[in-house]
Amino acid sequence: MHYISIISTLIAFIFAAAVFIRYQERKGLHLLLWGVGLVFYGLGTLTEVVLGFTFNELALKIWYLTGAMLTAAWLGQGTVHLLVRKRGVAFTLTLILAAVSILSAVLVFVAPLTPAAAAFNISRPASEQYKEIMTRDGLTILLTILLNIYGTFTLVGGAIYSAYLFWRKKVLFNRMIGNILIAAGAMMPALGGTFLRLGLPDWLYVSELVGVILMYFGFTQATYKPVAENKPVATTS
Amino acid sequence: MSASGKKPSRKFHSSPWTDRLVPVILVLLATLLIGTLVLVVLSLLGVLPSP
Repeated sequence: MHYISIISTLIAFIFAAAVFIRYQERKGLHLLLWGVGLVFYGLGTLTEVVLGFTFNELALKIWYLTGAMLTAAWLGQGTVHLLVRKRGVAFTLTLILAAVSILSAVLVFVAPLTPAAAAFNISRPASEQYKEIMTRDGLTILLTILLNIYGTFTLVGGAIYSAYLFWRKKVLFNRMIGNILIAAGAMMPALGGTFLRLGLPDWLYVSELVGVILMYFGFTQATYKPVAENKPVATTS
Repeated sequence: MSASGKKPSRKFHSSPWTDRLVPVILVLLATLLIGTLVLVVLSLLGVLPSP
């Protein structure tokens, strides 16, 4: 299933580049944060590819840090910047997230591996084996829980909320569809854990691929501007 | 332009499927979101069995 993670990685980095280009044009901080989140997404799937060929301690730690801890939170933080209008709130939350991310990186990188690392099986997903290999203290586990809840809630919840507003006001059809796709796509990697518990580890890779494709398609829909919108409208008064 | 000087957003004509299907999809997604969050907490706390 390595090829699925390779495709996910390519799409994630292409998606990140598209978001960064839009940030250069528009200068919205939410775009910068989404771009960072997508780079984390790409790093998570890239290290999954590496771990599918050989065991590497650094790859495993980057995989855990980005895939399990930071991706959802940074993507969600972009949505917070887009939706939270109250002055200073989003910026303060970003500073807290940055501090928590640095702390998470320190905790993950200084934690030693267990002897089980020697028995790492490249034919099994890293998500099946990391608990036996990585030593995670209570704070690391707590931060993983909090970052995932925060990220999933803000990213998916924000997209659902935006889609609902567009639907209720009957405006910007493309953005409504785009936000529905983003919400569905963001849910996919989170559902990957459920697939694992159902004994379908390969579906984790599929959920990551479907997730990034749906989000990318949703992003292109949400940012698509119909030609008619660019034309000046004649007025009678 | 509106009175505030802001260009109004483009309205779309809703069809029956937009009126009915979109809220169903949004409710489904919201339910999945809540369910996923509960599962994340339970699995990371070790309450649910790991694979």
